[in-house]
Amino acid sequence: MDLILYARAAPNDRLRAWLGVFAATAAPALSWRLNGALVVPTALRPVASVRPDAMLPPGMAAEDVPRAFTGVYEFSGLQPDTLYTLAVQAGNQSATMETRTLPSAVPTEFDRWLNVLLVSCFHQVEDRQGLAGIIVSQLQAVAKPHLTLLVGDQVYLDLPTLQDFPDDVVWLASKFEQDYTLNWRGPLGYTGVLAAAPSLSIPDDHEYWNNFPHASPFIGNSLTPAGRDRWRQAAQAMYAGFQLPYPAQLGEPVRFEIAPLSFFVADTRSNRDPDRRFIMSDDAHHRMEQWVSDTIAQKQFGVFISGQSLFTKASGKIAGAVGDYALPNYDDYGRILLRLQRLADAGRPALCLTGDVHWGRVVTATDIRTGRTAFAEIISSPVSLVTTIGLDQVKEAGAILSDLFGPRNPWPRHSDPEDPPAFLASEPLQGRFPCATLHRHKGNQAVLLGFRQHGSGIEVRITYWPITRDATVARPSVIGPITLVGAQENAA
Amino acid sequence: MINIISSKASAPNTLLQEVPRREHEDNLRWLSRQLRPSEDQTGIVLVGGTSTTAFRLRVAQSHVRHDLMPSYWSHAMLLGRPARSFATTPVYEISLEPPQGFTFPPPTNGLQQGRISQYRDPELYPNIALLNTPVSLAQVMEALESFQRQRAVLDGVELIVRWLTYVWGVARAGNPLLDGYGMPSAAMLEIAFGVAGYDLTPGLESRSSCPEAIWQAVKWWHEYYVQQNRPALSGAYYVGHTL
Repeated sequence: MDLILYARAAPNDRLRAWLGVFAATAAPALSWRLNGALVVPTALRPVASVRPDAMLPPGMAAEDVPRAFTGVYEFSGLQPDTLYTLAVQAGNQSATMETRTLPSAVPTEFDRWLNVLLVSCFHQVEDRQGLAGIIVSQLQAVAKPHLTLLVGDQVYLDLPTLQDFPDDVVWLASKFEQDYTLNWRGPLGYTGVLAAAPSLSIPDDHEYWNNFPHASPFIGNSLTPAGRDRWRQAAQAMYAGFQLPYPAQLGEPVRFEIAPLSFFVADTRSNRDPDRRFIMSDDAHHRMEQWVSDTIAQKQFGVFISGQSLFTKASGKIAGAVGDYALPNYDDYGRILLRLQRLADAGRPALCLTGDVHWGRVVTATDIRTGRTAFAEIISSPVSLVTTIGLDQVKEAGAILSDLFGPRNPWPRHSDPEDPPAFLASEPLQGRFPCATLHRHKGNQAVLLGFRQHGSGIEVRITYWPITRDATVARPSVIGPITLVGAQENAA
Repeated sequence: MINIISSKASAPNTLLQEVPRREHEDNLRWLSRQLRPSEDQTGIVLVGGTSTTAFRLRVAQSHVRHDLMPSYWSHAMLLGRPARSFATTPVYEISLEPPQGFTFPPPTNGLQQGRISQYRDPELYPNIALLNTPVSLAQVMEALESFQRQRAVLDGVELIVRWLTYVWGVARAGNPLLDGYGMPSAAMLEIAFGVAGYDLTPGLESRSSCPEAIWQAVKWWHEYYVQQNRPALSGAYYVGHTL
């Protein structure tokens, strides 16, 4: 048995700790110390097996199955932006971490920033040497992140592509637990990224399977409703054990504030309708409506976080069915955008953060009614590009040939960033927000966002950190700062 | 084109008053008449000069105006705490024509401390304005202290060099405003007031500030400040020279 601790994002007067107990056969008794003093935290998820009893091998006693147990614990009554040492003891094993509570406000000083690490899409197989963790941990020397946003595909449960997965929830749960354990426990894996700062996760399709909840032609288990249901159950059990931002329930959005920023973290995957009528549940839509109203009333700046881009067009029928449907493929995409438009109506510019697409991009959308930047979207993807059998080999062969006759392509497997649509959501928003691309970024990457208050606005400095050992492309790209300034109200 | 946004206000700010110059009145006496000392307020002085440098700076800012006419203003500076003899009142600025030369500007990020007396002559500076900002001088001075050590935030030295190449017509140097480089003194003030929580140039979404943008803020952005729960800029001005 060994113990791993990671900090979870929490309101600024408390800490939340995710605890992993690996290779255990029962939930251990725990004792906690905060700055050396014994404490009894609130258990948001009492430490428990990530595999429910129904997903354990039949015919074996639970106490004979070594597996992962996880819990999430909350320590309240703390000071914002303060370093704490947290230790947990279970039997003769212990784990310790140092972590900071989130600050209560975005800094105003010249030399201080609120640093938010934005990452998505990590395929451990393509990063066996743990380069992502090494580079992210080295960021601490430049600008230590206060918060990490894990915006989807932290695991690829549906890989390897060519493996035929038994249509058995017990087998699936065991396989998924191994995938998560590899990334969360290491060695290497995603541990360096998870340890960088308190984190907050949302799932995208590979926390389930490619194009969840829709059938995928490459995944035999997804071709029948019963197969999809078994896979979903196993995947959700693992998501709950490793990533779910407790106390939120699966699919629920998470809100938090670092004044004057107000974050709305939307799970745009778990509750998708198989008939593509909606991305989020009615409850999530109501919460978003309330968040928009509160953001306007309190003159804050909204940060909307989703697993996929809002600045895109609907996938075609074949591309959507074979690859992945985009948010505009769902009937409630317009509802989401119309809500965000309310922020623009009230002169409150908003930031959209996402991943998913395997390239990076910074886009702004100007409100033609005010001339102001109404929205900016920042995409960070991937940390480690997933293997695509066949296509990767073709691209690499092509790169070898083209390198003979021209400049070397340092990212032969990666796609070029796509252009945004000419107008953000032109149908529901009627051409009000023309888009402009500020930056395109190809290759493995992590994005560090720096926020600073300036006047009554917010400055956002965006730094793309290439994840590579290739010195020719390892220099970070700094974009901005982009300035978000409140527009005049009742502007016509 | 410079991305500056026009205010939606239908009428200019009534807190900005034109105060004609009296006969033979120099700028120091005109400014003395406008002073309203307050712990909660800080003064910004705008001047519009007639030197060749000032002419080029005023023309450069025509791109910030919707009519593309030259600005009334060539320079902006922070007015320090008024001295007993007003002429010796300090000003904090990044002048492109410093009376003592530039010496070696990096240690102060280009910031210069001068005296208001150098702007006394109404022949050299026929246009004058004193703007009152609802921010304490202590807050702004604290920000200026940090500014001197934070070239990474705004490189005042780079702005000096870029603007001198334009003003002096070096090689093919173009108008730095069109490339997003603010005029050094105004850009410094915009940063310092921003740190103190006040938007000096709400019409701009970048750091490419200039005296004209500050002028437009005081004249046209009063409603915006009220909407942001902040007092609007106020002040007095006199324009004795137009181009």
